Amino acid sequence: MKADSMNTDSMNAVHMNTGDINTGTMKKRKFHWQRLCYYLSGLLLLLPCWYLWQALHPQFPAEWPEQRIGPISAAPMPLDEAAPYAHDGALQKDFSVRFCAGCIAQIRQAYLSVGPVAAALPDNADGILHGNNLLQHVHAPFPLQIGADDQLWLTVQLWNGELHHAAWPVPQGWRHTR
Amino acid sequence: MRINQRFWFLLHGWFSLPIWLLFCFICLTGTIAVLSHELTWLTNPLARAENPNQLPAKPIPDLIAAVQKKIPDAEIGHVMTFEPYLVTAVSFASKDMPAAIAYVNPYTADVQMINQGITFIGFMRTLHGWLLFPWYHNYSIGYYLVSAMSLVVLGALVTGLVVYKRFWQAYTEKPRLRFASGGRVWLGDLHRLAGAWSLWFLLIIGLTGFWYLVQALLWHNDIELGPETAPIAMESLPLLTQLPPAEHPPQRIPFQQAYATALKTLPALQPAWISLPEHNRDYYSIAGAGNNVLFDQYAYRVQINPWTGDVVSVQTPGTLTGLQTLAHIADPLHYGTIGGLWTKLLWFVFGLILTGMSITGFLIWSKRTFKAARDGHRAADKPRRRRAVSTPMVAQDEVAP
Repeated sequence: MKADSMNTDSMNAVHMNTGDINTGTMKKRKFHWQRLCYYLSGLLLLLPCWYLWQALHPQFPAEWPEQRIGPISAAPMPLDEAAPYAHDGALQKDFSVRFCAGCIAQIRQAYLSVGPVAAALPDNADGILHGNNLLQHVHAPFPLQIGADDQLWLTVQLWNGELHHAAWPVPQGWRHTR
Repeated sequence: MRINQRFWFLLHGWFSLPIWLLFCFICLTGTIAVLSHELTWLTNPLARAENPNQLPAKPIPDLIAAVQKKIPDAEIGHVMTFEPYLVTAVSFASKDMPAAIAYVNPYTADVQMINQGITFIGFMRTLHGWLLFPWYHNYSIGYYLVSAMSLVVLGALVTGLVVYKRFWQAYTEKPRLRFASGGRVWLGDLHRLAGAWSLWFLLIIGLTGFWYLVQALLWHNDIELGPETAPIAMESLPLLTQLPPAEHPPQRIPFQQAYATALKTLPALQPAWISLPEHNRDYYSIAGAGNNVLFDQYAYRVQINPWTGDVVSVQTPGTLTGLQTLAHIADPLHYGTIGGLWTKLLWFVFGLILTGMSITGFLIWSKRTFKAARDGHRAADKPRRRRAVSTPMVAQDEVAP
């Protein structure tokens, strides 16, 4: 270690003036770079304040029009305006679904799907509506390519086995993003 | 650059110094988060589980019944138990309160408080865990930032051991803090002394933090840690010939029955996290700690079919996959809950030491850097002065024990 610094000292002594200038400039740059990292790291800590404010004041898109589904009615609401996101090699998008008062108790199972027609009831729970009697939530599966005829389908099966469907158009902006 | 003592010393500094503020903040918030339950107890009397009559803890179904008696339309989502001195949290939704937590005294079943906002415990967890950065479904940049700090901890640990030769002498010799030799020497002594005695803590926090980084990558890439229980087959759900009145849908088995079945199935289970079905193909899930202190409060779990009362799955440490095992042992080690309040206090103290080490490390570095920068300015400003300027030397007192 001492040998290193001695070597550096010797080199500086040989190159005298230019060595002094170069070393000083390099140190200046290094100092500025370190100072920049330091301030950037500090600025990063301002972001949690912004995200806390966002979390306390969430903004949601407007609810989609309410539709009749057999004897009940429902209105979905995407949780954001963004296009569907990648999940397990497919696409997915989160929605809330508001049903008419007291109607959730009549549902045996309900799903969201996207396609030209409503998907058959799945063996797994992909796209199943869940939550409480006030509001339901769903991670709706989307196809990798959303076709021109594709719609968002809400399939509801009542306790007597009756199946009912309702469909909403998929926003244009979600179709060609991936 | 040659790999010598100076190289290791610079590397040691570069592991954290450019991001010193962030690293220090994460250390400090983690330290506070360790005692967030106890700070809640200290600051909120309604979160305390007072038990002057030394009553035994009531079963969870009694606490749920107490909430439903107070708020008749409360729909229970999940229940979480804490240390014996804290209330049990019962999450519910009702017409007037879409998302709320009832603080229930586990000994008297009194509903002491309804919280519809954030909790201090939750706030500290999100602040330390991902700096409140948003989650984009399966990843958060904040979670990556924080868990990547494990590389800083492990890197500083390894390079520190290389730089600090014969570090084990710190355990056998009298602690050396040379107050009279100047601020930088004293800070160096303090930094090394704290580092030597915190090696075990740095290793635990670094390795568990590294696991969180791996876990973040697994989540991001949709890689499951282990098999999930398949939902109830739709053919198994009740099917009626006529649509029942909305107020009389088919009834699931009472939670009390599911709870009793879970405890009978797994007598070692100490329920800590209970979730009720979120849809008709979902299960009652009763999870908790067991007789293996290395595992967290979710490692033991029984799932019950809410229509038949059948036990669908039983999870114990013995049934976990390798990745699941890592996931269930990381938290007690990282949070310091492994031995209860005493280990939490120990983790808090060493968390403070780690935070202090980041501060002392920064002070040592800043003294060197600012001095070097001043020298650099002088050299650049006065090129004609015949003076040999050396690179910022690593003082012998900074690398030797």
